[in-house]
Amino acid sequence: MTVRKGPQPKPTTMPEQGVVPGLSMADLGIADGLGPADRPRLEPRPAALLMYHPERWCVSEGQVVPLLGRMPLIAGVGGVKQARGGKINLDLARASSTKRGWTILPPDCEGPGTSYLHSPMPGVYLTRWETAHAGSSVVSFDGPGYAAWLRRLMASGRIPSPPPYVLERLRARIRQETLVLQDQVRTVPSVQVELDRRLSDLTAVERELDAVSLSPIPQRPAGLDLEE
Amino acid sequence: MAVNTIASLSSLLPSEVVTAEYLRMRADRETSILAHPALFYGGDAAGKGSVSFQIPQLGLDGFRILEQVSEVSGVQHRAVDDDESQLTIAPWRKAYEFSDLARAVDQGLLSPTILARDALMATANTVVYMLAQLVGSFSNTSGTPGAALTGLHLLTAKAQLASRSVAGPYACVLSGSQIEDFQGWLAATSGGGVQWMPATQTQINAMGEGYQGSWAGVDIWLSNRVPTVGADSAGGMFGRGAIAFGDSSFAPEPDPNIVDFGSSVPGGRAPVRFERERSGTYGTTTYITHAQLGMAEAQDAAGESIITLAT
Repeated sequence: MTVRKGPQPKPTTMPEQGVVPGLSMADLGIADGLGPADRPRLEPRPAALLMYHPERWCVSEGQVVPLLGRMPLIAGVGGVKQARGGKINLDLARASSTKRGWTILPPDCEGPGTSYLHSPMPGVYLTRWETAHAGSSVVSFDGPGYAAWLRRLMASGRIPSPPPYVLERLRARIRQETLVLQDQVRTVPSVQVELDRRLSDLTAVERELDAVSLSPIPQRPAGLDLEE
Repeated sequence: MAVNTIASLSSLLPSEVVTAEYLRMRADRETSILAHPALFYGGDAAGKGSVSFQIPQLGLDGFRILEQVSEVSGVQHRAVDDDESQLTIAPWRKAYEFSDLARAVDQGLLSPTILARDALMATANTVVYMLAQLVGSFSNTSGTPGAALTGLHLLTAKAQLASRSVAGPYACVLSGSQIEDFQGWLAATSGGGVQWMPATQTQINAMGEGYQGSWAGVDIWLSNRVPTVGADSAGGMFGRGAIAFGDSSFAPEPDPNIVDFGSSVPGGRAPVRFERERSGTYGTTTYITHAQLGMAEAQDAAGESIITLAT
């Protein structure tokens, strides 16, 4: 073995086995045919505005919350028009949805700088409670966070509380469903989970009914034109 | 902008021999719902002077019954009940550009004939896509958000439509997970005794791959273009008048590179313009599909959204 004289080269940190620091497949001009691994694999999803309707309510995460609708921002769908510069014009769509009782929630309805929409990749729009995952087409959803946001909008008055008659109708529907489920559970035991859930929903609706004030239209005596 | 070159078609044109047949990539191709009587065709916007037009609704043909009056008293004059809904037509388009070399070696797999067929099917699928965007936003809803779809939800939706005098037959568009839950419910709770009529091969041939069958008199389609709202799928059931769609035919263009197909949907609807555009400078040919389409909710009460767990 020969020993080299003179200044010795500085020791270098050995890279981890199999890893070449600083160079990726893309850097080397190699296409793997799969696309970037850190990108979600989602089909295009157009942006949609959320909107609430005074007669659409449900129980989520043990609380009564509005069952929001969507207004897709697609020209040609639901009265949405194209405007100059590729922008979207909502005049007709808004008028049409308002006529049917809907109220549009602007993305920044919680204040400037906030938005309930985000875009994890070009052409894909999700609500902020939806999360895309790298290399996957799965979108996970934060149900408790979404329900808490809806309750915050209710508490702030942005979404009015549900009318009592709507809650009564919701209660009647859940009661009817529990009756059917109680029959079914006798022969299909796995239905018990759903039955328990609906009974819990019923409690939530009754709690909400206790909380909202009844404000029926004042009644006036009706006169009848009867022969004596 | 993507140009289809030898490099970009590497999966199709490698050193291996390409088979004479090709596999279709997965997509919803259930366009037969567009011929269902529940879907109302609002008309062709061509020549109307605007991309937005009204669909009038009239309360005639027995909408309002007679008023009982005294023998010699007059009757109050009534305005004819009416309402309206708006349809807005927008342009839809897609283009594929191929290099001359790619076309030379593609063995006919990307021939104008095949691209023209794609143009027609893509346009019809676009109309289904628009429909799926709308059925979840009726103000009336059935289903239990967060819970799996059951036959009870469908029966409730049907009963609700019937109670509002909505004309049948009803059509229903559900997501894949909703169909799965429904069939699971059928298997678990009904013992097969409920009147589920799965689509026969003959029906699938006639009505498309998305047609699932008929249950309780309701025709059911599957579309994975049904959007989610939170953790739920927002499908829906509707009768005639709930959803209206319209289109616009194209002004004649005396250019041999442009072909106008009368319709992509049964009944002479959703016309398609198929155009060939040549760029000699770059040695490419582009095939462009054009359609002018619009869809909107017309009578809100004629539809029922069905919102249940998406997964």
